Amino acid sequence: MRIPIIIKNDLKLFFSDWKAVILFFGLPIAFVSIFISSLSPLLDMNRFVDSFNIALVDKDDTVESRVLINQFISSQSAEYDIDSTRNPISFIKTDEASAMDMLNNGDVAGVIIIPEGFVYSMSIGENKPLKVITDSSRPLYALFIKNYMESYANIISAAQNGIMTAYVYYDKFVSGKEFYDEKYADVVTSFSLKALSKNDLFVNKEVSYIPNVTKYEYFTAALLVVFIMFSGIMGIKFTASEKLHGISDRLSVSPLKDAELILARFITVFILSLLQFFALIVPAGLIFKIYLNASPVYMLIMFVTTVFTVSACAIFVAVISPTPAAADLAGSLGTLLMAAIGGSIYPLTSLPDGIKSLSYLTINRWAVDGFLQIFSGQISASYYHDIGILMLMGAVYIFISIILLKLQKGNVLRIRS
Amino acid sequence: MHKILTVLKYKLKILLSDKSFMLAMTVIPLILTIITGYALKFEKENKIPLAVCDLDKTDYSKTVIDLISKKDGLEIIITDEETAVEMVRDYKVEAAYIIKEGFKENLIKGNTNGIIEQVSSPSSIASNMIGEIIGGEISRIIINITAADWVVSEYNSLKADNRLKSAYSEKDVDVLWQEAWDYTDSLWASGPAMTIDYIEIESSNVTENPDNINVESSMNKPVPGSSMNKSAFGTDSISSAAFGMLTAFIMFMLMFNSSWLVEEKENGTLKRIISGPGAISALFIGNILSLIFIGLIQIVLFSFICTIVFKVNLFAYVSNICIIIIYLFSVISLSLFISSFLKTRIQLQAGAPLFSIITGFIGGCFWNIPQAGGFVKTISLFTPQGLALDLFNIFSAGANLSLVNLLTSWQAVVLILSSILLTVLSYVRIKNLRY
Repeated sequence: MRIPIIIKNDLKLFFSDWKAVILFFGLPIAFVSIFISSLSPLLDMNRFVDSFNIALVDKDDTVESRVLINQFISSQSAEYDIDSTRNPISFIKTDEASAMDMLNNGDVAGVIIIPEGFVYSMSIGENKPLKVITDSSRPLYALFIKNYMESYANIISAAQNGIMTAYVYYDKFVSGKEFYDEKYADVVTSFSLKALSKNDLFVNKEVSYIPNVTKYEYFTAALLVVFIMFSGIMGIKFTASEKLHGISDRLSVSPLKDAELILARFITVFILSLLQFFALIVPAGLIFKIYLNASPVYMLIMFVTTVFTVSACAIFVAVISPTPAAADLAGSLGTLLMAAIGGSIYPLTSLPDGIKSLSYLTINRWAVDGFLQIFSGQISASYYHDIGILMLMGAVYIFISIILLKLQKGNVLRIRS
Repeated sequence: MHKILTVLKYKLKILLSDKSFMLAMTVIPLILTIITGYALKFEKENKIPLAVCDLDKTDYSKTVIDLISKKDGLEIIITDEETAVEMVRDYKVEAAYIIKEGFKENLIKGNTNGIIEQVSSPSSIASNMIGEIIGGEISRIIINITAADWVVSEYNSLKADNRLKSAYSEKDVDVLWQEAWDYTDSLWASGPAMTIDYIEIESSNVTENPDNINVESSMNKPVPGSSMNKSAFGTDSISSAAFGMLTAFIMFMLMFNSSWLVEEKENGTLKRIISGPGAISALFIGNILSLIFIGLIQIVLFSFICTIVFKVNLFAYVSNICIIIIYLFSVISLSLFISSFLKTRIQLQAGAPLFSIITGFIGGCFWNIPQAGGFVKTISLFTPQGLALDLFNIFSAGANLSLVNLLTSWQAVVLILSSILLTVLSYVRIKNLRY
């Protein structure tokens, strides 16, 4: 009976401040929107090279040169996520003057020109070179395009070397004339096709630190945890205010047990977090179409576990804080730090290694990963791992809090006696 | 004047007594600067790192690795399979290439399907093109084999038809195969048959700032005596992040420390003080000066540590000093104004951190990206942090900008006017308390 009274009182206190209530329920979705707009490029950001364009100029304009141009274009035709802010490397077919303008304006990183008579020159072994023009102020792209085009030239060279070997040996075995009469056409086709058949060399595999989710799902999961943590600060405030007004001391001589007080606070924080959870999930589902078709059981387990760990952490902060102001400060700054280190503000992929290692100590790292797995619709073993770690963290916080509470209680009684 | 100094001395004694708070206000933004600076680091390396794992360990696989290692602009990291995949997952390499066991054997058999595993992340941009580059090198080996196979095949066929010249009638096919292979490969010795006509030109677009090239402002003069200039920063993301964090935590600290007004209102001190002639003005000015003083301490301390830790001198430019001072006044006036409305100290101490964090996020302190635009950027300009950061970004990148430009910019005018207005309003509200 004592527990529901404490919960009722805490909730009454919370809802008495209407401005705080509006902020409490309105902020989450507003923040998710801001984060998506401002930080989603970090999810797709490439640390080594930005997307760039290459202009293609076909001055030869033969069937073969057009095939070559199409091959360049199709080599980068991989499909990309429609939500992605990233653009792949693109080839733009244009004329020489426009291509040079584009290069001058920085619209393309390089220009590839197939010279007039290119195909004919190859057929007679003259090999007119492909013209490659890059921007020296973009050295990385310049080198990259140079390497890429050299690899194309090498493919043609390889095919021609193969044809040359065939000719030399056929000439040794029979005669060069017979080679041209009987073999040449077949040899050119088969060696050229063989040299170009490099695409099947690779089997592709994609790996990612982050489960396969959209930017909306990512930031909803990331901020969901942050707001559950801010709900935990409510718990801190209740406990800290009780300390300030001497309620804690008075409670210490009442029949109310420590465990009952902790349980009541946990339930209060749980109710507030649940309300905030719905205040974020429902509009996010409607506006951002986040994936909510996973079993609600997974969602419930993850949510309860996160709230448990956050509440335990909040109780710990409240216990160690000497004043409500210190508790507020520790709660706010602690939440901010945990959010930054644990991947709730910036994706873990964009953080330095040292911070990634530190992230293992934060609630956010495990909780965000758990929610992301739910939103991705692919629950793996790491989901249960996340739950286990969160439970362990919560248990440690509670254990330490109870010990500290007992010590503080002992001190109070000693002072009174 | 004496009254003001007395108030200032007293307030500073109180404010500076909480050393752990001052320390937290310096250390936490530094930690966040590291995180933000790294996260928002958009500069690129001058090489694209690739992890390569050779499970085949044959002369063929080694030849491929040797050939791609010679490519400029690519940094090849030879490692084991697990590490290679981990490096891709941790975004340490653009992609990983695992040369599978049986690579040579499969090439000789003509079975080229999936002999290399390309591991990339969803954000990989260049992996397809790098695959083409590696494929180009492997083509050389494939054609050597194809040519050798063709020669042996033709040899056998011609031998069966009795068309071979007598000098070649009794040739060992294995020797012949190797001869043909070596001959094809030897043709590379004089260079590739097909070359490219490679030209580098310098584009006229100098403002694009590609490939980690810092743009130097011509008119934005460094503070005399400062050895640093904008190029020397070399870490623009760090300076942007540091300035963002500094603005966020100035707000945090000053909001938290402006509780004097609420506190003295709450315990009746204010009513007693204002009955004395000129006391209210002395109290008001003294407290503002104390906030300016601790704000400056925070700025100096933070920038000093930034210079040591990150080699980034935030205030190497006069413009940045002006921006932070204008911002400081604006935050002080805002904190006074908010405090003049609050009834209890608990209200302020509960609201201050939340207010600072919320406005910090909205203002862009945690995503101070100069290139940011759109709706979020517009929203950010409704906060003092957003205005200060906008000025910082403009004056960090812009050429031909002077102090007059800064002081007459609309962002600075808004900050200065709002500071004056809010300070006056706060003063009037306090004065009205006597009635």
